Amino acid sequence: MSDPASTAMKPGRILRIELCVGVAIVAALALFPIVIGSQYQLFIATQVGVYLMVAIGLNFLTGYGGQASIGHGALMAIGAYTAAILMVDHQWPFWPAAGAGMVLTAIGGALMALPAFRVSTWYFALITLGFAHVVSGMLIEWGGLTHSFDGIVSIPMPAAFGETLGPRGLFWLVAGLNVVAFVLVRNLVRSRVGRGLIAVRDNPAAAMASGVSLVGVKMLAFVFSAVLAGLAGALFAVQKTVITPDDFTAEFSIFFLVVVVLGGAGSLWGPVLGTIVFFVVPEFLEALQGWRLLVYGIVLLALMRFAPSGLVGAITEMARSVPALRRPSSAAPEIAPPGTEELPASAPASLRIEGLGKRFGGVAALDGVSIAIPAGAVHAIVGPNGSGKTTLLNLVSGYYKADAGSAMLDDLELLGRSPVAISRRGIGRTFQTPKMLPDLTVIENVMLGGYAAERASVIEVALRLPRSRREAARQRRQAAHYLRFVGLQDQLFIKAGELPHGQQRLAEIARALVGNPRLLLLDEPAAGLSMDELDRLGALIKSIVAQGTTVAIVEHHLDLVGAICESVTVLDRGKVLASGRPEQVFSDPAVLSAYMGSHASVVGSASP
Amino acid sequence: MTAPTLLEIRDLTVGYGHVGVLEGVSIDIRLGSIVALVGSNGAGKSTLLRAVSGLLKPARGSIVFEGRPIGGATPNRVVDAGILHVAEGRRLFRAQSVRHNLDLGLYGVRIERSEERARLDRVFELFPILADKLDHQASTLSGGQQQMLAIGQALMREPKLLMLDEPSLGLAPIVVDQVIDVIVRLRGGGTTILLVEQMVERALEIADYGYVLQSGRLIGSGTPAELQRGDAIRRAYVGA
Repeated sequence: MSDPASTAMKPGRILRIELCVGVAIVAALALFPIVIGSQYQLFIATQVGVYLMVAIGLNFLTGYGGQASIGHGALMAIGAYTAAILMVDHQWPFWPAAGAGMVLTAIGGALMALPAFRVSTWYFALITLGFAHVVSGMLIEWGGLTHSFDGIVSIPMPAAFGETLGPRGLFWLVAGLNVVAFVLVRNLVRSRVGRGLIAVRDNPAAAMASGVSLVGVKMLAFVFSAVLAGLAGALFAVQKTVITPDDFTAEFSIFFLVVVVLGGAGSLWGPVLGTIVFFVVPEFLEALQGWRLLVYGIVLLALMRFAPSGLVGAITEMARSVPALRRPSSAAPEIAPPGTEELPASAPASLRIEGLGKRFGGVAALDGVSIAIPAGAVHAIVGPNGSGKTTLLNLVSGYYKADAGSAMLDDLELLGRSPVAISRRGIGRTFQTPKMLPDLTVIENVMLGGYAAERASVIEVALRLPRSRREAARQRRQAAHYLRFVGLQDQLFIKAGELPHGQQRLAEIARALVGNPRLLLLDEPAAGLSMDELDRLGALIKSIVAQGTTVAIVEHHLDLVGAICESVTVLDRGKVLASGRPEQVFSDPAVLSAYMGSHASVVGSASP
Repeated sequence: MTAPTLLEIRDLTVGYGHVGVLEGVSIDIRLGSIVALVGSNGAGKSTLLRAVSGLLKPARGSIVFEGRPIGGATPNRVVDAGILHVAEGRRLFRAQSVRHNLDLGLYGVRIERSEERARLDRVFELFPILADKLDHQASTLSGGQQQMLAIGQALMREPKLLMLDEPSLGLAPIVVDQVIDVIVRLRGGGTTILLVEQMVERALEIADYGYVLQSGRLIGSGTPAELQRGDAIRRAYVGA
C-alpha cells in the first residue's frame, strides 16, 4: 500500500523523473481544451477533475491514514450547497463562497474524526455512511435553505482575473487546483507528516514510541481531506450550474471509496488512475448501451480479483517482472554525514522506580518493584518468562497505567503521562517483536524516530518551504548516521519488511536513537541475533552509553548482560528476586534455581 | 548402521526480494536424527524451512521426502506427508484456549477419540504445564509455555519430520534447557528433527549432524565434532 516511487531509488533521480512527468502532464492539461473538439467531452473532463480532487483527498485519509470514509460525497455536498446558496441567494462571488464551503467541510471533517478516535475502522466506516445519509436527508428536508427537490439553479460561473470563466477556463481552473492538491499530498506523504500517518495506520504503538500524536495526525488527515472535498463541491456546483439532492446520494459517497481502492489506496497515482477508469471508461462503453453496467461490473470484479492492491499495485508488479526496469538496489545514494552540531550530546537521565505495582484482573503482574538506575549506567532486568519484565517497560513508557508506585526520570514523574509525552521527554524504546513499518524503507522508518524533533508546521511541510526542507535533510542525515552506527549502512533503501528479523531489531534501535533519548529501554534486543551479531550488539550498547544515554535492557542472553551491565535486577513472578552486580546476582542460589538452570557456568565469562 | 534418508534436498535454489536467497543447497536428513542448521541472520535458514514446507516455491532443485518429490507442493500437502514446521516466534492462535490450539493441530486428521486422547497425553507428558493451563487463553501463557504449546500443537499430528525454527528465541535460560531436553526426548521417540538455532553451541550439543549456511550457500557440514574442529562456523559468523 505504499508509494512505489519512494522505494529503492536515488532521491535526486526520482525528483528529475517526477519533474519531467509533471511538466508533460501540465502541458497536456493546458493543451487539452484547445485540442479537443466537443463541448461535451470538455464537460466530462472537467467533471472527472472535480471527482479526482475528492479522490485525492480521500486517498490521503484512507490510503495513507487507514480510515475508510463513506461520507466524502456528503462532505462534497456541504461544499457544493454552501457555495451555491451563497452565490445564488446572497450574490456572493465564487471564491469567498467556496472558502465558506471549505470552512464548513473542515468543521464537518473534524466532527467526523471524533468517532474515529474511539471505534475501529469498520465501525467508523459505518458511522460515515450514517453521516452521508443524514446529509442527504437534510438536503431534502431543510427546504427553506436548500430548496429541497427543486435544488439550486442558475449557479453562475466563477470569475478569475476579472473575467467570468468559460468552459475552457473552468477546466483549467479545476486542472490547476488538482495539480496543486496532488503536489500538496505528495509533499505531505513524503514528509514526517506522511511517516507519522503511515505509522499511525500500521503500528500505533511504534508511532507513539516515536512521539507521534495519534489524535493530531488523524485530525489533520480528516480536515485536509474534508477541505479538498469541500472545494471539489464548490467546483461541482458551478460546473453543473444546477444542483439537487439527487446529485448526492449515499451511493455517490461509496463511489469515491471504490475509486481509491480500485486505483490503489496509499499510492499517489492511485486516485488518478482510479478516477479515470471509474468515470471515463464508462463513456467509451456508450455503444454497448444496455450491456454497459454488466460489462462494467465484471471489469471491476476482475480487477479486484487480479489486482488486489489496485491498478497502481498491478502496474508496479508488472514493471518489477521486467528485468530492464528493475532498480539497482545497490545504487544507494551517498548521504553526507551529519555535522557535529547536528548530533547534540544528550545528558543521560537517571531512572528511579519505587513500589511499582500493576494487576491484570486477579493476577499481580508487578508487585512493589523498586529499581534505581543512575544516569549513564547500563542496567539489565532479567527473569523467567512471564515475570513482569515487559510489563515494567510498558509502565515506564506509558503504554500501561500503573496501579501503584512511582517512576521518576530525574525529577519528572512518568506515571500518568501518555506514551507520546514520555517519548518527547527523552525516553526511547524498542519492542520485543520489532515494530517496523514494513512498507516504508529502512531509512524512512528510522526518520520516523525524529518526528518530534522537527519544528516546521504542516503548512511549511505541504509547501516544502525552506525550513521544512532543511529539517528533512538534517533528519535524513541523522537517520543515515545512526543506521551506519548500528551497521545497516547497506540497507537504507530496502523496505523494512524485507529485512531479516535481527536487522529489524538493529534498525529499531537506530530509530530510537534518532530521537536523541536520555534513557533507552531495550526489550530483548538480542533475541534471534546470531553469535557475531551478539558481539556487535554489545559493542553498540556500549557506544550508545558513551554518547550520553542511560540504558535499561530486558534480556535473556546472560553472557551479554554480564559483559555490558553494571547492575542487574532479577524479577520473579512480579517481585524483585535479587539485584546487584551481575557476578554476584548470577551466583545467587535463588536466581540459579528460578531462572538460570544448567548453563549458569557460562555467565560471567567475557564474550570473545 | 546408517539409517535411511528421510529428506533429501538437492541443489535447492530459492529467491525472493533482496534477502534470504538460497543457491544450490543440498542436504540429507537421516531418519531418527537431529540435524542442526546454523548460520548468521539472513543466511537463508528460515528460507530453507519455508521452501520445504511449501511456503516458498523453489526456483530450482528437488526436495524428496520418503522417496516422493515434494518440491513446489502446497503447504497442506507437505503437512499431510508428515512434515511439521514450528515457525520462529510462536505463531499460535492467541485468542484461543490451549486446548483449542492443540485440537487445531489435528485439523483435517480423522482419528479415533481414544487415539486423540493418547496423543494429548503424550504432549502432556513432555509438557506437563500445558495440562494445567488447558483452559487458559494462549496469549496469557508465558513465552516459554507458548513455545511448548507451539511444539505441542505440531506433535498432535505425530510428524515424521519436525522442523523447529529458533525454539529458544526469547526464552529464559532455564526454559531453553527444558526445550532442548524435549527435543532430545522426541528423537528418542523416533521423530526426526531439523533444528534451526542461533544458540549454535546448544544445537550442536544435541545434534547428530550439522550444516552451515552463509549467504544462501552451504559452506560446511559434518558431525558436531567435525564442525567444532573445522572453521566453517567461524567463517559463517565472522564472514571471512
